[in-house]
Amino acid sequence: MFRLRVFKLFFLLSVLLVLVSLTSLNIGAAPSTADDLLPAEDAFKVSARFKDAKTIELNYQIADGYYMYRKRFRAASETPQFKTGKIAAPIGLVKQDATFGRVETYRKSVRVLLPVTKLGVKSDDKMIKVAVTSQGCADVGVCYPPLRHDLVLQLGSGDVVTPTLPADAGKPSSSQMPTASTPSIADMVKKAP
Amino acid sequence: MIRPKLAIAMAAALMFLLAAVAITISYVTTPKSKQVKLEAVGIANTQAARTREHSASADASTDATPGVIYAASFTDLDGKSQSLGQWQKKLLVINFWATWCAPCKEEMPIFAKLQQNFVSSGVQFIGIAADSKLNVANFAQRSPVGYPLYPDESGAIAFSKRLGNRLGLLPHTVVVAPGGEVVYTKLGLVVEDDFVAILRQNLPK
Repeated sequence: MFRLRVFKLFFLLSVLLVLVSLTSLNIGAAPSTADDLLPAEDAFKVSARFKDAKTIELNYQIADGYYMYRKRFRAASETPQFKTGKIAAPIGLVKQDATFGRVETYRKSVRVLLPVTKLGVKSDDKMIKVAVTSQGCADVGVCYPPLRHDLVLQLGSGDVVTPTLPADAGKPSSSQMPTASTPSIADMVKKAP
Repeated sequence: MIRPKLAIAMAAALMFLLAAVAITISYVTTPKSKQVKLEAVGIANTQAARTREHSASADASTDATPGVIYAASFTDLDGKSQSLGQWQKKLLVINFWATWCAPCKEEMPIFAKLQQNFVSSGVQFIGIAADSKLNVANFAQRSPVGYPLYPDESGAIAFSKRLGNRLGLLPHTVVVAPGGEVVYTKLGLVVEDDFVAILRQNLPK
C-alpha cells in the first residue's frame, strides 16, 4: 500500500516536471521579449478560397501575442481579367490612437472578404492572382512592416490556397541606401509592398 | 495482465524521460541572449561605450560600417536630400519608426525630450519613417518632435535591416558614435534611464 502511494506521488511529480519543461520550451506561447519574435509569415498566416463566384475569403490565423490592424488590409488583382473591390473586414477590438483616432485590431483570427469581378463574359480564364497586404504588431512592443502575400486561386473551385512568394521578392528598390563598397543606388534591397 | 504498480512505475519512468528530453532541448535551443538579459549587459559593462545591445532578432551579419551609414541619404519633409554624413562629428541617434507603429509613437516623446536636453552636448536624433510623406507630415504637425523626420516608405526598412534589424521590425534605434561606430542598437522600446546612460557614455569629446 505504501509503495503504491510512493509510485503515485512519483507519477504526479513527473507530470508536473513535464508541464514545467514544456512551459520552458515556450510551445505555443506568446513572445515575452523581442528575442522570441516570429517571422511575419508565421505570426500572420493567411489562406484563401473562393467563397462564391464573386468573393474571395481570406482567413488569417494570428499567433498568440500578435495582432493585426483592420484598416491595413489591401488587395489588388494581378490578373487583367479580374478586378478586385474593397476588402470587407469585421469590426475589431477598438482602441484610441493619438494619430489615427479610433483604431481596430484583431487577435487570434480574422476572416475578410474580397469582392472580385470578372471582366469580359467570354473570357475562359479562371485563374486569378491577387496580391494581399496586411500589417500587424506584437504585444512585446514591435510592429511588422506591411506583409504581402500572393495568392493564386481558381474561379469555381472552393479549394483553400496558401500564399506563393511575392513576385517582387528580391528585386531592388529605389532607396538611396548605398552598399558598403559601392555608394550608389544600384544595389538596393527589395522594395516594401 | 500488467499489475497497477508496474503500470504506474512505467508511466512515471516515461514521464521522467520526457521531462529530461524537454529540459535538454529547452537549454540547447534557448538563445544565449535570452539566458542573459541584454538590457542588463548593455549598461553594466565597463566597456559600455563599445557595447552593442543587439537583440536576438538583429542579424549578426550587419554591415553597419561608417561608410554605409554616412553615405546614406534621405529626403526630408521639405523635399531636400539630407546625407547622414553631415553628422559625422555628432553622437547620432537613428530611430526607425512609422505612423502605423503604435509602440514607435509611444517612445518618440522621450526622444524629443532627450534631443532638447542633449542638443548642446553634440547629440543629434533623426527619425527615418517607413511611411508616406503625407503621413509623416501630418504626424509632425500634430506631434512635433524637434528633430528631423525623413519619410522613406520603401527604403527605411531596408536601411534598418542593413543595420542589423533582421526581421525589419519597428521601432529600431541605433546609436552611432562620432566617426561611425555603432555603439548601441535596440529593437523595441528603449528604457529611458538606460538610454540616457548610453548617451552619456558616448558623448562627443
